[in-house]
Amino acid sequence: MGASTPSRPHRNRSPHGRWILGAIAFPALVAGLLLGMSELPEFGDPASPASTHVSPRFIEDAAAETGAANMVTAVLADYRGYDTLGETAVIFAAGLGCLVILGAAGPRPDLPAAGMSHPFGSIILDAVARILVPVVLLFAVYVLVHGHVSPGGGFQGGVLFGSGLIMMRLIWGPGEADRGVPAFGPSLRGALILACAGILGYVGIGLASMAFGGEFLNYGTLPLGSDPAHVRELATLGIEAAVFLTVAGTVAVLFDTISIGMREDGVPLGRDREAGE
Amino acid sequence: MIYAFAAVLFTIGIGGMTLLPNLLRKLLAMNVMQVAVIVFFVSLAYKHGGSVPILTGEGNPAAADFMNPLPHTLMLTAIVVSVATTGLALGLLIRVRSRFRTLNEQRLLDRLR
Repeated sequence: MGASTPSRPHRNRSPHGRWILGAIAFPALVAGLLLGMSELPEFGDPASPASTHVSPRFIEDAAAETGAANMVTAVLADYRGYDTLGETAVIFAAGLGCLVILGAAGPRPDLPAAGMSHPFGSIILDAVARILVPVVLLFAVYVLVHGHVSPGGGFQGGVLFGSGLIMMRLIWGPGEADRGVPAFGPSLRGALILACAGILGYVGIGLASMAFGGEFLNYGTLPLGSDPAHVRELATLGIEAAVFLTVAGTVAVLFDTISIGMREDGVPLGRDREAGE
Repeated sequence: MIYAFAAVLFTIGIGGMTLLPNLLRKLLAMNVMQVAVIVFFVSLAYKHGGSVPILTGEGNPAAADFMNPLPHTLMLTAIVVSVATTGLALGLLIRVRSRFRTLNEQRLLDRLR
């Protein structure tokens, strides 16, 4: 980078060279991968190594031990609680990173609603805002609390809830403030608080189980009842709710920071600011 | 067969990451690669004659009757993590472009020299 570095001669800048190299290298890569995959156990074989070591334990004991009929939820929030804590922290860190990289604008204006027939500007936006968004948000909570008995849980519900928030933010464009439409949903600051509450709640449940004499994230010791499976079920729901908050908050934070960054920049990301490309 | 699909998808992703000149397209190619890995993991979880890993009815469940829940769990989190990391990468790209006025790999390298 320094000025004293002698400028190296330009390497092959022709794009064709790369494509020719790719035409040789990537079929070879496919062939190599297929060769390796031919050694894999047959597709759908119940006796394959992936299905014979730890997973039978999960399948046979999960419902009795954790009270969750959905084994994926049991593995996610109970047996692999550490892993899920790490994943949640990664998601939270991505949201924070975006906030640090792009910065945050001031709070969104919160104006009183004016009595218009179509406050969001058109009948379609109105219908989405009034009918679709509440259903999406409600369904997200349903997916969260039904994670024990059906496909669902904190991650799926959180993403759904976040997409509902994004929908509302898309409808509530920058011009809406001038027309007196109230902002909907948490602001960027609120979304960040949601995400923080989620990750702190997760760690808090882990520390609480330590305080009652168990290991970190071993929920069996929590004083929530006498049936250990039921205690674990409740604690798992708490973990899922914490994940839900973090994911929903982070999705909203990512959307807000990126849209602020784009607005400052003013050119769609796919295009170069210069001519060409 | 599904393994071959994952292999081809993975190679498309790697090819896109190395060959495409625009950083945004490289990012999307990386997402294609992630999808290939997710398809591969979920296909490992499949068992012939197994049902979804949600317990129904009474009695002790037998391991052969249900799909392997572990890859499903891992990929469930991986999908959401990939959403978050893609968002972070988009943030970085926005900053890169407002600093260097381009997302073209070669022009960026020229400007960094």
